Amino acid sequence: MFKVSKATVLEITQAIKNREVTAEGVLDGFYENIALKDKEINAFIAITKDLAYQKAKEIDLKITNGEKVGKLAGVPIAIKDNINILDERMTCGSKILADFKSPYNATVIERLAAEDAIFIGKTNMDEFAMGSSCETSYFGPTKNPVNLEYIPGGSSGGSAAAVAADFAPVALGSDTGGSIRQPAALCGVYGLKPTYGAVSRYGLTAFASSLDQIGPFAKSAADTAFIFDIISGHDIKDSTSAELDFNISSELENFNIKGLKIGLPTKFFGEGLNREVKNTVLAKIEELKNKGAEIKELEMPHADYAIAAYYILAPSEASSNLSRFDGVKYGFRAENIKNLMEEYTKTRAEGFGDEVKRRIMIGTYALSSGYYDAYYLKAQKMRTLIKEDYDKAFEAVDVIITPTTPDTAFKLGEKTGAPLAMYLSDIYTISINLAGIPALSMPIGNDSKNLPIGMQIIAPHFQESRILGLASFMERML
Amino acid sequence: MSLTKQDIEHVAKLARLDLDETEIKKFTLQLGDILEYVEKLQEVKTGNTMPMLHSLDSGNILRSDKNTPSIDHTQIMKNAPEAQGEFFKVKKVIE
Repeated sequence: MFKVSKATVLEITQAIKNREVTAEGVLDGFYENIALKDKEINAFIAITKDLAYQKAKEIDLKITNGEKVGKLAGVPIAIKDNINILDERMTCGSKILADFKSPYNATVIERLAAEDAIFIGKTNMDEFAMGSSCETSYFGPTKNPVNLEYIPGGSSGGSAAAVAADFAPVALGSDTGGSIRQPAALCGVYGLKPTYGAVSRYGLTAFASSLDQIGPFAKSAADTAFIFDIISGHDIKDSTSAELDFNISSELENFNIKGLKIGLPTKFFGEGLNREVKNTVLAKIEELKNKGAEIKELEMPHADYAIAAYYILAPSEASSNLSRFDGVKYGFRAENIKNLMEEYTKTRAEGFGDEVKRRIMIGTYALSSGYYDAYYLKAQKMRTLIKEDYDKAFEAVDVIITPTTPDTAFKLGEKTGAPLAMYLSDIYTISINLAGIPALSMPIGNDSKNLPIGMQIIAPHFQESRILGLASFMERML
Repeated sequence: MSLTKQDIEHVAKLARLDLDETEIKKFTLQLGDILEYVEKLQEVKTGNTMPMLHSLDSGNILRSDKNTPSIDHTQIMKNAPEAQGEFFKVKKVIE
């Protein structure tokens, strides 16, 4: 019998088309895994069984009737719970949206549905995508499937865990400062943060609009590219989405390692980096060198300022974006209120969790009268300098390689009391969002505790094909 | 940079957050720490650098100004905490 658990997207679609298995059968297999293991892992906030089986039956009927089916026919996909699926719950991991049901589909959902993908469930996340461990969710933390004492990373921890635990072959997440790449690294799967503008944000709940991007989690470079091709491209509903078409799946084989110039920013390999992570990444780079790549060291003079700039800019945008949650039009509303002002202040005080309040407070402070120039404007200028560092680097190299995270997964509860320590776990991913460029985290081994290690491949704007070409080469040749 | 309890109360008011005493105390310390950390931005002279609002040079890509169907009104009202007919209901605005 066809075994669904470890199957890739391509294997599933082929098995379904060859009638080795039905779409319903595939779904049964994954839901069985979920029933068996998700009580402990807690990767899902909501299971979308009715929607999933309805779609599976449609696909099976089409195949029986010999009708044409989409490129993702019968492939289950887990969706982060800040992306809208019509008439399904969308909580963003927050009490304030605990009972919210989406009145429309996100563009990425429309595109996946048009290719006959099956939405298997909504995945757990740090509240409003604010966190690096999945512990700020109102619905309890997700645990790392590799070792349940450890966090899966965040904010898209549920999506990373779902793929790592064989609950779905692929998943969608969102990445504002590392929220796809960091959990991908810590759970041992692939996770791509596309170029800003490559994927429509319509229907993604806004956290920091100038940084947010939706991207895929998968078990291979080919599957990552395949999902990216489907969800990317211009959308008239997102004025920041670029007028480009992507078909990188077909370009993966064209990749040539000979003469590829790889940049290593020395600052990303210095103090604070775990020795095992460092050695594993450097060993991979040595292998690439042996295959014909040229290695160049990079200075990146403003790298040390990325986190400081981010923790002004992202909370500032968030404080503005989250002002819509006021208990008027949707979501939770506090009880026993005297007047309209209390309706706002009590609803928000009771509806938001600790980390969300903290970021709203930082952002509101940074934007408040008298502080704008010192904080927000200063951080925006720093953002320019950080982007210029990358522009300059890409004049000399084709890709940049770094560790995805300074360390492997940490234990549940280890950093919850220290917000700043938690923020610093995104030190290698944050500057990529500031510059708006694409980056992938791919699994490259385990440490002595058997926890996964991720390597980050970064390329210039819209060069996702270069990143996945290299990742696919490494899968095949190293 | 150190913050006072009054700073936090002022910002909470601007942010429409009804914080309790424990939260005010905690945020006074934590926000102080975070602001002290971001203070390192001041080490770099940024005089004539242009602020970056956006990572792409393309600017806004606008759609043509044509009428298309939008989300149904009843669909939107399903999520209302309180509604009356076609309207969202809130506490009296003018006392």
